Amino acid sequence: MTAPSELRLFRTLVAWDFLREMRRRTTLLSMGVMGVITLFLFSFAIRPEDAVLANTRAGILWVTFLLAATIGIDRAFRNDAESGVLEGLLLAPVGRATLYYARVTSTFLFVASLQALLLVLFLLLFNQEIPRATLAPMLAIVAATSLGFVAVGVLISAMTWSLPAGDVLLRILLFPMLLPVFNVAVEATDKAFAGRAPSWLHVGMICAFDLLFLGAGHLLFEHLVKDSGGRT
Amino acid sequence: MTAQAFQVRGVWKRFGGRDALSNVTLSAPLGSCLALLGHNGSGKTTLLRMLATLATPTEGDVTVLGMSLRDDVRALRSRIGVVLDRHLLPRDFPLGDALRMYAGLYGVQDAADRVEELATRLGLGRRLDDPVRTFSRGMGQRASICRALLHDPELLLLDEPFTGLDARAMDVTDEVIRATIAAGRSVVLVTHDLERAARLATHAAVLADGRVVFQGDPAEAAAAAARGAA
Ligand SMILES: Nc1ncnc2c1ncn2[C@@H]1O[C@H](COP(=O)(O)OP(=O)(O)OP(=O)(O)O)[C@@H](O)[C@H]1O
Ligand SMILES: [Mg+2]
Repeated sequence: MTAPSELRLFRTLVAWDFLREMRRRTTLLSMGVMGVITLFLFSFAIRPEDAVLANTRAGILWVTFLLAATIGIDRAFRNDAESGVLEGLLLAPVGRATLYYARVTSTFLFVASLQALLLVLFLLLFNQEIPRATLAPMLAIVAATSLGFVAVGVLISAMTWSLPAGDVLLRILLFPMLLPVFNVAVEATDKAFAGRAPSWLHVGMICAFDLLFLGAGHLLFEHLVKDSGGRT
Repeated sequence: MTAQAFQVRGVWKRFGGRDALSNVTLSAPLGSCLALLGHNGSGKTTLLRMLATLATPTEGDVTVLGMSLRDDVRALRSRIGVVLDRHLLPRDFPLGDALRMYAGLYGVQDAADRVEELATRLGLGRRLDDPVRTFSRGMGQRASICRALLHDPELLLLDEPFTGLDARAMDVTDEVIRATIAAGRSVVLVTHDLERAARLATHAAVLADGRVVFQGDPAEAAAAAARGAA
């Protein structure tokens, strides 16, 4: 028996997390339903021909992303923790940071796939277009911001999943922490809709946010799962 | 001094205001099967989870297979196999896939063969393609034992492994325990089956309200536990 490298473990875990979510479907489904409902509600409140849409479209998109992603992050973690799979992983000779990064990566993958679908639905519902020149930067902004969401979300899920009303607590803790980067992402997306590339300041702030939360996860995750207690 | 499978010194574990373990000092030599007995809520699972690296003591020292829980326990984890009250397998996966994935994490060579061999041994050979969620309770317990044995651990930590098992599966589990000791490996067996404990174990300890109240010969311990439970 040779111990697999951390990189190999990471790949195995990501693939496994992803497969598990695909089989279970509940996470994707609840995220998708939340995203679609939010978009439809906005589309009733603000018509595609409304002038106000030009100022609010980036906000609408990000509120939708945030609500859907939060459900996904919470569900994915909770499913594993409640089913005991998390405990099985904790028993295995895998570094805690590797567990964290794998969970962040797999969650990010399906959050990002869902966001792609929601973005298309948004463009159709609100009759919007993203100028070709700013499409790539905008997608990069969405991806980078979502990575930060997921990085901090997984961390807070690990902190709250076993508490009574843990999902509520997750939101109470998560939303204020996300506010700064949320604002930056909305601004950058707004510019992209208007055909202007995001500023380097925006890109830098989003990257700094990602690094900050990934680093916090790297350091803290281990302590959050150290004493799982076994009673939920 | 003979080498110890584990050594627990002055360990306390507090949950909220309650002491689940109070000043527990206990050890078992390599190659032994320690039966851990005691009434419901006496702290057996709490102690076992600590040995399994899933929990840390509030106070005191725990050493497992010569490694302190305060150090990096990653390498230790590949040397212990654990059966808890849940099977820890993903419910939506076929048993075979679930076990092979765990085997991958432990770096088990020829994982497919190993999984097949263990599943057959525990009477699940023909259920490898069925999702774990369709399993009966006893089948889940058998699957859990398969998972614990995948990487041929040096120390087996078993929390009520006989729960839900039929007579045949119990006998297989007995054999597993005997074979483990015969190979010079160690077992900690938490159980309420005093008769079986007396038969299988080489050493025994009885917990009551988080304290070790008896330590010694399994047959005497079983008698002590029976008195305590009454
Ligand atoms: N996570 C937890 N939070 C609060 N109390 C706990 C927790 N885990 C254990 N306890 C308490 O610690 C004590 C010992 O529990 P433990 O599960 O170790 O008992 P046990 O000997 O395994 O019992 P049983 O035979 O019923 O399995 C109990 O009083 C229990 O309520
Ligand atoms: Mg117990």
